[in-house]
Amino acid sequence: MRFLRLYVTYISIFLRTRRENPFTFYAGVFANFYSYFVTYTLLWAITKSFGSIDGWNIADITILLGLNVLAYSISGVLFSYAVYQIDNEIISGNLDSYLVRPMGILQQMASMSFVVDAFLGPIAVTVIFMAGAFCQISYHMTVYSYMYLAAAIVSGILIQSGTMIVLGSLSFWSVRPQKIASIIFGEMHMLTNLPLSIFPEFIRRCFTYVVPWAIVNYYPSLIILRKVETNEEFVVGLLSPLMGVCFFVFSLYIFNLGLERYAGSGSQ
Amino acid sequence: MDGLIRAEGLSRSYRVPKHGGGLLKRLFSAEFETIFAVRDITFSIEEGEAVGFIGPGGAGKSTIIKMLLGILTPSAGSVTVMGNDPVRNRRDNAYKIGVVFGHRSQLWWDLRVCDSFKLLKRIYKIPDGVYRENLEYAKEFLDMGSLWDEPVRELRPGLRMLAETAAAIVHGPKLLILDEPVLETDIPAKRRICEFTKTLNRERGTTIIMAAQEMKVVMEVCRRVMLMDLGSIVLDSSVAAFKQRFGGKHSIRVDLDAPLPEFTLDGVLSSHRFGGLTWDFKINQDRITIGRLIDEISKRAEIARVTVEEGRIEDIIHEIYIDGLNDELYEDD
Repeated sequence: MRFLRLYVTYISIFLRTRRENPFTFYAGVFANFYSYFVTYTLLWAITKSFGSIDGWNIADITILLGLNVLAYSISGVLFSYAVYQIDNEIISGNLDSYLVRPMGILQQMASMSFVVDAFLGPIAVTVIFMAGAFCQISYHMTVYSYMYLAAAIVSGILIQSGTMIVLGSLSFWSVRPQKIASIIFGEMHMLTNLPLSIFPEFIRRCFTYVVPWAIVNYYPSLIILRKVETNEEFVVGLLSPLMGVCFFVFSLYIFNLGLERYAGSGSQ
Repeated sequence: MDGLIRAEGLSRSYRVPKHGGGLLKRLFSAEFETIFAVRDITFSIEEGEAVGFIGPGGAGKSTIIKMLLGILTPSAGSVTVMGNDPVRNRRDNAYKIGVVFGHRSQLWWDLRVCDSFKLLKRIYKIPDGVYRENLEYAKEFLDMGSLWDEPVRELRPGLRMLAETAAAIVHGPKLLILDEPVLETDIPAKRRICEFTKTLNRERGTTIIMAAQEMKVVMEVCRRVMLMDLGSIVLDSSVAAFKQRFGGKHSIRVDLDAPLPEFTLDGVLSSHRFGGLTWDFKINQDRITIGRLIDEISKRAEIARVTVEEGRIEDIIHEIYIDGLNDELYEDD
């Protein structure tokens, strides 16, 4: 409750400062809108000229990519700060300022890190393309499909946010997370924009059980698009919303462990 | 509740890898040495006191403060703040404690001063009435009306510290902790912060704990002082007793136009350099005044320049070590 009120207060302040400088704000939103628009168009062009990728047509691929971008962007709005800032906050001593306040550190960080500029563009593009894709798919979506879709999106956000929190927490062990973050969120992330079935078994397993990116978009897409073939795919797909919650809780545990370590060792 | 703060045998040590040896040796040997930031400290602070920690940098003042705030776990000993273990009850205690850090900002750098206060109001769940009252109180004393709409990053250090101080009391804390609050502040801001802190202590009974390297500020605000060196409290005394014991000590440097041979005066310790051109005097003010000393010197030689300095913390610590005097100075006031 308090968190939400703080969040709303911060957003209202944030929007006011952006209103004072609207050009920078809209330029930022537009640049990101444009870059994701290009991504979708490129994928669309490739899929169109090949007909389909391993049985995935344009609409399928759009949903696959869309789930990914949505999860990434929304968790970016919520937690990107946690990844890129914790080590700065430790070095500058600002973490101590958070710690002397009567509120969770992550809650404080999250509510102060509402940065919508970089993520509003991708979210807008995705909503447009996904809406188009759902109009095109050939079979009927039931109420349950939509409920599952909503759960899958939330779970995707939780997994992405959890990953950001875990990476950010590495700072507590004096590891600078930016390099690792750029690999996990950059190159590895890109692979999951395509159906995992085109990759070797090893990579598929890796994205399911090690870096759980496939749970964000691939398995939910299999369920929604009725492409499930094996039992494993069915079970992982159906459980993916639950896994999101579990992973997020795990990330909070890691964060608190790190925080405890910080209080134990001190910033010197 | 007896004692707002009670620390017993409180220590904080760090293990650091031992230096020396080749790279290989350092990689594989697990040789550490233990360095104490604070070593076996016992003290208690009652409600309504105004206590200052003074000492040179690295004496352990900030370490104590961090342990009181619960953001650093003691490595030995125990401490309670308002009856609670500060680490375990960090958040509960946070509602009743206000903190001013001179080294870091509690305000939001990119936002205006007023926005920071809006956020703090939410974080501390301050009721509207209390918020307005505390804000008016702080605004009146700190005269910060003019910086209310300024972005924090554009404030000069003195003004920023005024805003920081106001931000620290807006939730009406029982205990206000200030760690080097006047480090970079200009004199008017410094004076205002000192005045405000004193008033807070007097009118609202807020307990004040201030840590500073600068003795003068602590002497002005506090009624009790703990002098720290190398992680220990070397002296715990009332400010009045402290001033009486050490306050009269001044060091005076006199530059002369012509060299002066050695001379002696009652109550004066002197040393000279450059063949008698520059003289350093330490005087005991009970026995001789500065004016008298200058007068005596000018009878003997032409004075070019006089510099007067208050006794430095380092000198006082040195003196305490030498005298081996300790507890008899402590008076309960």
